[in-house]
Amino acid sequence: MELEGSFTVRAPRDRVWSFFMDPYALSSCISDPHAFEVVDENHFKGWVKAGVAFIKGTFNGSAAIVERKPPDHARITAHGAGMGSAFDVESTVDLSEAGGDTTVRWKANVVLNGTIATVGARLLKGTIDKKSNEFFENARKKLETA
Amino acid sequence: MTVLGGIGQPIKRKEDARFIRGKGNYVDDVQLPGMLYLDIVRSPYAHALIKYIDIEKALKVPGVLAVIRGKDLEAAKLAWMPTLMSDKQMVLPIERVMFQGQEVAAVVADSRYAAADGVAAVQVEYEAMEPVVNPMKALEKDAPVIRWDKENKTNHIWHWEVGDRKATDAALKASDVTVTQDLYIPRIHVSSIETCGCVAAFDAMGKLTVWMTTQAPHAIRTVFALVAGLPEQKIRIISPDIGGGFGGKVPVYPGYVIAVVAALKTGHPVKWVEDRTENLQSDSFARDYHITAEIGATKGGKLTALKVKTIADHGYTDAAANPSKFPAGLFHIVTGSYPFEKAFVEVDGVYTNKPPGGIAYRCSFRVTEAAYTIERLIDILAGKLGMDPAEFRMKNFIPQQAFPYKSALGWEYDSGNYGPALRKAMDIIGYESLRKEQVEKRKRGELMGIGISSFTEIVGAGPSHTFDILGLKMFDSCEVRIHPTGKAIARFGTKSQGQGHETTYAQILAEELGIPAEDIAVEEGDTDTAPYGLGTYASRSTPTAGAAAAMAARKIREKAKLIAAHLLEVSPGDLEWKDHKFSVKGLPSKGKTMQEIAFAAYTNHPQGMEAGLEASDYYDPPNLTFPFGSYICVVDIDKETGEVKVRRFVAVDDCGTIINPMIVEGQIHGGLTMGFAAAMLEEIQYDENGNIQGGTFMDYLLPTAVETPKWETAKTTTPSPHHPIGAKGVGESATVGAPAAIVNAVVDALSHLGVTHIDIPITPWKVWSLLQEKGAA
Repeated sequence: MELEGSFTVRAPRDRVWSFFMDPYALSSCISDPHAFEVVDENHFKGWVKAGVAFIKGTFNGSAAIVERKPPDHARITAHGAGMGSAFDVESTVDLSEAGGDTTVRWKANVVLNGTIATVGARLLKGTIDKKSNEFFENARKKLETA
Repeated sequence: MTVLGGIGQPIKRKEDARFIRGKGNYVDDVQLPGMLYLDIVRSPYAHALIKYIDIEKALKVPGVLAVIRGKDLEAAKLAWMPTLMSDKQMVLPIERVMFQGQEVAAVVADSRYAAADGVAAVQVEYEAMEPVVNPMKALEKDAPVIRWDKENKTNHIWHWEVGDRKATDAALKASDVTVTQDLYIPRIHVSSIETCGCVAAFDAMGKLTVWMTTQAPHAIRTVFALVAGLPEQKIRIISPDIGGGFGGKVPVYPGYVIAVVAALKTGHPVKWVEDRTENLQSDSFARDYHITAEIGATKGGKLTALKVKTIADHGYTDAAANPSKFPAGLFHIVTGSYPFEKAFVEVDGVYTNKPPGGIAYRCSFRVTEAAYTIERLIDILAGKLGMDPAEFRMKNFIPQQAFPYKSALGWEYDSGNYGPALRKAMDIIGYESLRKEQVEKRKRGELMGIGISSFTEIVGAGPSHTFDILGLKMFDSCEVRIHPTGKAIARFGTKSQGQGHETTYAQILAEELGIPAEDIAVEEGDTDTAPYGLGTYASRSTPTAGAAAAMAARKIREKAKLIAAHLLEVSPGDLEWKDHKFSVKGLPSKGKTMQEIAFAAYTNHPQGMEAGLEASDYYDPPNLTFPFGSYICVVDIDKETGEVKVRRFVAVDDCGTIINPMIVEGQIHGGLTMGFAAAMLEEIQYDENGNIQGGTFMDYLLPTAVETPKWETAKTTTPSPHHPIGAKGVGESATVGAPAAIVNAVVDALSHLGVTHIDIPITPWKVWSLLQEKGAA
């Protein structure tokens, strides 16, 4: 499933870049209950409680920053499994600055397998759209209020 | 007065006394002391390497006693098992998973809840591999090879063909008119209301008893003996009441084997029962045939030749339940009710990353696929010739005098009389006036269609010279014992899944023995007591075990005649079997009933004769039987929504001699509803990653009473010339015949717009989209 979106935040690009490279900052944008630990500066692992419709549970997973090109491009991958399901995400974030504002363009390729893709198929797109919008909206708010 | 309840009597079903009161005894009703529960970890991936399976956390879940993995089975050489088609399948995988929902590990616990928690705690790390979902792509050169374990590095399983390719090509070339059509008969699922499951228990002497949802308990016992190396006398399979089989309970599923291993490992009885999603996503599927068919005729509308090419998607292993010699089942009944002089059929089996199966969903063996193909093609060709589809069929039917009829693809049809069945359906539905109504409606822009299906079935497998499953010949059996008081018990090698065997078999015996059906207990499904047989599927019970009942009864009558002669002090030659008793020829008042004879068999039998009155018969049918019918469906289509409403559906069936008309009618109602479901609702789809998209009843639609049309049934009777009572079998005719009638009706409603075919299921979306495309909405 290919997803993409963009939003503009009233903050300079350097600050937005540091925010997106900071696992603690990113973690604070996830609304679902979760925990993570830093393995090294590019690798993280943890769990999140999430789900689609009535298929809810704990997913264990890991994430990695596989490409950093400061100050405007990064590629991040994530993998998780649980509840008879598995997900893989490959995403890119690109930042551009104009007049003190920064525009964040993101793309994600989400591959879902197992129960969540089977039982939740019809509700999946809506849920993923909602979750990703929520995440980036949280990020925007935090950057603008910080 | 006691009712005999013999052949042709619409007596009430004996078994319903328990079913309608909720007193049936199904596998999940079996409770044993100390029984444990098994639940299965399943793969989220359609194709992946297994990196490791971590069971430590699961073993710490309170109540969990054991976790079983593929490598635990490997030591006992049980990680793989043979399929019914001489392929092999994994019980539990070691290196790779091959479809989403595949069994990966099993958790044994002291409650269902603990077992489910244990399943959630098993951690499996996979490395995803590219799945092969589309069978056409599976055949491409660069496609990933699914079966790494096989020597041949290809996804092509087998090629099978029958008929004369050259002569068929030549005949098609010489035909004045031909049409070619692609048809996809999608993957569907039997969705029996009871899912699969078992309870496995070893006794103190090491004897294994398995209560199992199986349609073929005896064959399963032999398979268990051969695969697990257990002595066969130490295996007892009990098939208790079964809540619907429809072919889905013929295969051996990994869960059964794992439950047996779990019982052995823990020393406790172990119960395994699937949930609905497990049933839909991993039990054997049906159909999944990608067909291209070409048919030809002369200008005058005489059929010439038929050629059919099919790609059969078998999933990751060929675990179809077909007779050994027929990898595509009896699909070559595809010439149907018509005397093609030339015909050719070829089928190629293909591996994909999907669950295995290819079982017959209430259709003998691939007969729905065949009947649907020919009945669709006949309609398309009639349309091209500008002929009425009823007239075209009437003109081309195999004539009654041609039976027994040898088809171009090698079958010998035992009997048939197709014209009167179609005429009867046309009369009941008022065919000619419906055609007039259609002309009027079209003028007003309204959409209405009439569809016909004049199918020929092929059931009752089968003669031992041709039919076997894993080498076991496809006879079936009956053992009858008459008690001193004139009551009887009869046991059979088949197994009812709701068909009403306890009633129909008793009726055959009642007719043959003169003992009322209610005085005859019928038992099936316990391999320790019932005679060996191949089980119930492919509408074979009446053609095989039903025949065995008649034959066993006739053996009893031979002995009974000698006892009657002894009692009446006449020569056996002076006696005749008349009005369900032996009487002296010309002196009907002087006779003995079977009850009197039975009493004498234990109290006053002739000197030198063995006491008792019993017989058994293992019946090897000389041929298959060929039930047939003509169905006519009328549909109205809502142009705004694309919704198809079946206004009327008339089903005229001919299943030979009818044993119980009420049961036959019930079978036809059920079969029509399943045929309607396939035509309108059911399809299991996969996304590009191999995730099943029909894994619950929210997405896999079954018809309820709301969607189901009102069925109108009627019959003609053409007895089978070779069956002892002339019966042919009826369990599957309606599922075989109905889809084409419905699709033909929908296409007929849209034919003036240039529509010649719509693949099933015919959803409102498909119809609405077509109407938009044709500018007719």
